Amino acid sequence: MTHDFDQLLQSAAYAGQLLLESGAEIYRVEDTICRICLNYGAQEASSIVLPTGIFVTIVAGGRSVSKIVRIKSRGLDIDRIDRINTLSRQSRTLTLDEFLTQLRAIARLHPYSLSRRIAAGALGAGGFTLFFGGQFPDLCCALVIGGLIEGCSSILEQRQFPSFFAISLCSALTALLAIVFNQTGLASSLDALIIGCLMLLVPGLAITNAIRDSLSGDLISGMTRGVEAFLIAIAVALGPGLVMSLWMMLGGNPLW
Amino acid sequence: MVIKLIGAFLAEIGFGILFNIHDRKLLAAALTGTLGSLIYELVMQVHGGEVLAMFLAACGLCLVSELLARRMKTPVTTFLICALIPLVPGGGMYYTMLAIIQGNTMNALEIGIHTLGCAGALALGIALTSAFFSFSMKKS
Repeated sequence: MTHDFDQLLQSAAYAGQLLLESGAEIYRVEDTICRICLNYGAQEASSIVLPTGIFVTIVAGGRSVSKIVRIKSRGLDIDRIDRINTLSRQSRTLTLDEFLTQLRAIARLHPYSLSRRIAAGALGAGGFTLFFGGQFPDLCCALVIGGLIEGCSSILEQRQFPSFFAISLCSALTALLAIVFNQTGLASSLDALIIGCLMLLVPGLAITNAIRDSLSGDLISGMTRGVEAFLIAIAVALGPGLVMSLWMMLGGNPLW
Repeated sequence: MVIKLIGAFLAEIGFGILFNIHDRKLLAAALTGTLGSLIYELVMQVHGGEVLAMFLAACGLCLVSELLARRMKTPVTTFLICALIPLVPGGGMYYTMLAIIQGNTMNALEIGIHTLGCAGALALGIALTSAFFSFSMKKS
């Protein structure tokens, strides 16, 4: 059974890249790459994965080949992680070409469309406004704001706007709209409205992965993602802070 | 409290869609998150300590996530990320920020440290439960 080991390396690294870009944990990416390489006839395989890059080396047919992949975008797509995970476990029964074809098919699957994301953002913000003690009118305002900022952040992400500024901008917009709704008497509880909508921007993925990576011994990624979570949290707080202090400075009605 | 839980459930569904979770897994993830919020609310009413409530809720939802992940043969993160969101101390972060812009430094420090404590309890709960799980899985 001879394989083209260059192609094997390419496929394994590609699977790893897709996983990492979809927000998988480090150990899952490393395990998947090694599992694919060993299933397709490499004698040894080792991979080192960082949040920003993948390094793979395989030993096959008496020589060793290696590859480095730089990871630039990081998103969250759980469905894709799930599918690649399942595919890599089935890889024993597929030829390498079939495997690569299926992998490409998974990469082409689109996540939910923008309009659905906006609806989901509205639902998320509305739900959390109720959760943090908002009333029915607050819920309606949160639906509007949630949809709007989800749309904004999706578009900014597509345009590859720096994420720190994108998050601050969205959170500032949230606070501004919430103040407007509150002052016009539409929303009674300003706090619940702002917190509920800001939950959309909170770094849930970074926190979860920071914990899970540190726990499985990938301390560098754990630290990186911990710092990422902290920075996002600061960015989220920055926007409303700025808007609310400006509002007070420019002599708006008191907010508290 | 019922309204709060309904809110949490709706929000979970929204977040599940944003994270691209589908069908049965979406429902399961949302229910896991609601369970976490339920534990949190119950402990808050009985005991009143937010840090303890956060810790127990994290343990509970992590336990359910690990079990569900094994049953439905999917990565644990599917349920964990989604279920964790309502417990993230967003309120604490907001009130810390509010105290800072009001110039009330002592208040900001107090709320900020409390918020950090909550986040720590959350992390500890998840770390403990999943460490326990990976240990018991290796044994069997």
